[in-house]
Amino acid sequence: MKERGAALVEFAVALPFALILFIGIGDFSVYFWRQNQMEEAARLTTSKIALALAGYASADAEVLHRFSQSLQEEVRKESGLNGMTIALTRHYACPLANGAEQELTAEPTQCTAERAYLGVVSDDPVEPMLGPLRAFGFPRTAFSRHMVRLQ
Amino acid sequence: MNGEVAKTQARRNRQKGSALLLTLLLTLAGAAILGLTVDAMSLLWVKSNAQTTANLVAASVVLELERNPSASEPYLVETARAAAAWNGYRHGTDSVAIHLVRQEGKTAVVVERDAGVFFLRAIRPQPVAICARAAVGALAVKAGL
Repeated sequence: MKERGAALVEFAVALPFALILFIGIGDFSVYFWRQNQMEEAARLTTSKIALALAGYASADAEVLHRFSQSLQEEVRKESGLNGMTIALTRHYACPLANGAEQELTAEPTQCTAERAYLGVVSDDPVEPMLGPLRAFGFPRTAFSRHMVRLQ
Repeated sequence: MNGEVAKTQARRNRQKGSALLLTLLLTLAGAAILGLTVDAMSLLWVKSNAQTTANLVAASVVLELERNPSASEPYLVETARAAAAWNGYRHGTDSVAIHLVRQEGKTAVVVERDAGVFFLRAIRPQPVAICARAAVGALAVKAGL
């Protein structure tokens, strides 16, 4: 009887550590899977806007926002990810002599052949089963951020 | 009689800590399997990210070709590399390579990089090479260009 009790105590001591390890690893696995879903959502979004990419270069901020909203609805329906958000953002860059590019801000900059990029951002909140993982840097959202050159 | 007691005592001594040891071993085995799952998911994500980047770089090249049909190949390569850099893939750094390849008259964007692994390192120390390819021509057709 005593031996059985000892085994039970030993098991009870080891079990929480095993559970924390398993659930923690499971949480990270689920996180990467969600990241993968966000990538798929970004590709789906891109395929939907591919036909009219050039038009996004001249669209004003309000129109861009409306495009984002309607794309978000479509992608949510098709992917089944109802909590995700899609945002389209426009960025400008100045080509440098070494082939790289510098992002343009509101500050006036001398730039010839300014380039425009469209940012496709998809986000979806993630909640780990093991709450304290947040303290160790577990991200709040799964996300995908990509850019396509418009002009 | 004394012999019986001694035998029982010896058996008890052997059994002491056996549950702890067994749990520890099972935990390690479980952690190894789950760790490999995390690595597999992580690699899948890196591959997916590279594929999205390849698609968008190909779209960038298509748009450039639409604006400037006579664009030279070095210029298109520069365009592709600049677009890839915006997606976190800077050619020549961190084992990233961006190429435009032509095969049978078709152009494709190829994005290559090495992906780090965490648990898999125990059995395979080298990084895993990830390669994503997107056809420029196919995107052009899709986009009606």
